[in-house]
Amino acid sequence: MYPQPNMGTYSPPPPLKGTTGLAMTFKGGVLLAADKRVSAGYLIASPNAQKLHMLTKNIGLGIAGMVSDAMALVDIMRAELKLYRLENNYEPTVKVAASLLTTILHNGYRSYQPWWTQLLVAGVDTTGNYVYSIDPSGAAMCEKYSAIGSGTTFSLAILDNKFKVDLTEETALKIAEEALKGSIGRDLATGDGIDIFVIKKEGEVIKKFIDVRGG
Amino acid sequence: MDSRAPYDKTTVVWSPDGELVQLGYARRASEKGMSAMGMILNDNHILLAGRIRKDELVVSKEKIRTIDDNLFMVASGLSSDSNYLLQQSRVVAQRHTLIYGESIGPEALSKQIGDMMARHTMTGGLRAFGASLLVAGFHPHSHEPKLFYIDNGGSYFEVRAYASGQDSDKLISNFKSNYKQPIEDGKAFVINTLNSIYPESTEKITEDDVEIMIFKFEEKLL
Repeated sequence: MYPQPNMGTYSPPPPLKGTTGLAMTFKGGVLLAADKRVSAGYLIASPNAQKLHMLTKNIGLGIAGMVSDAMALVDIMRAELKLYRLENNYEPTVKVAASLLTTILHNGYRSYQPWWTQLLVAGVDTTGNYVYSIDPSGAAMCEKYSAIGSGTTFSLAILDNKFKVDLTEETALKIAEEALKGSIGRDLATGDGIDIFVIKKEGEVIKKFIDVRGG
Repeated sequence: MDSRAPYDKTTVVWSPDGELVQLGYARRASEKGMSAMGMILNDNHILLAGRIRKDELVVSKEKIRTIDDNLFMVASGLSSDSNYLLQQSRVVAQRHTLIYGESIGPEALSKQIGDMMARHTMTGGLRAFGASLLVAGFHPHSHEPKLFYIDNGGSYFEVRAYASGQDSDKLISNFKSNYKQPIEDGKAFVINTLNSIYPESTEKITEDDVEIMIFKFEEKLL
């Protein structure tokens, strides 16, 4: 399904199994959404996984791929961002979090020990709202919306169709739910529920859960 | 205070009075150096100044050095030591940018350099630095001007106006009475302050005797 081109052209690694995660900006904040299924082959190892994690009060991380690598990165980032806050005496921006992650991931890639994860960094800081998607080799892209995991294409199809700049929070939530349900409906490695983090300008984070039966 | 033997032979011992005697000697080395000053002029501008010794044979080198965009320093004391510290500061600044994708703030830079200088007083075989630094910069987000003084032992603190080198105590006590933000003409303030602490001197200090630079935050395109 994913063509492997020959040498000389960059091709991103194929999306990793077992998740759909998405992030999008809207007027007044960003939101992160992800499913809750962890699969090991055809076994659903857990229908209740947490794939969204706050790194600071205003920066969130969505994870896809190998769980151990992803959780290690969550822990490392929480420690590093706290140290950053203490040493610099101001809050890290979303760009700082993304830059630090790309440094870590790229170092791993360069030393033949890649971090087997795709990541979404999303947050609100004093300079604005941002979404960064980062691939396993450490390439980051700052976008208005993005998706990760095995269900990427199904979600992106709906996001590409419906996303507009400066959506209201309500519309953004609706589009996110539709996009994730699209992935749940067609990707068997995605399912069992939707977690949503809404991160707003004032630094507040609202967490929602939508139960999805049989997906 | 001079022969505090044997506690003055190395920085890695404390004297019974609770002093690092070598560090005190290192400070005296900076106090022999040419006067340097820094002050925040107003909400957008910082001034750094360094007194220069005119010499017909020596091609003059700038005293006020650049660490990174919007980050500058002036030092007093051993120039070989301050050159080394400048180089380390530049590397620290770029390392921060490589990892975090943004410019380092003056406080974080001062902290890292101060920590390095402190390590030099507790590692065997290394002497304390014979230079103290004034680091001027701007808060990367708010663009507020910030000034930090880093002493030979690595202790750093934020200041509004400060001086180091020769007669720094007189300069600082002068600042305590006369320094007040906003300062209209920073150059004139510096020259007047220098002249006022040498009232008996026949030769007046002019702009030729002092290197003065005033900085404002500049957006970089990169």
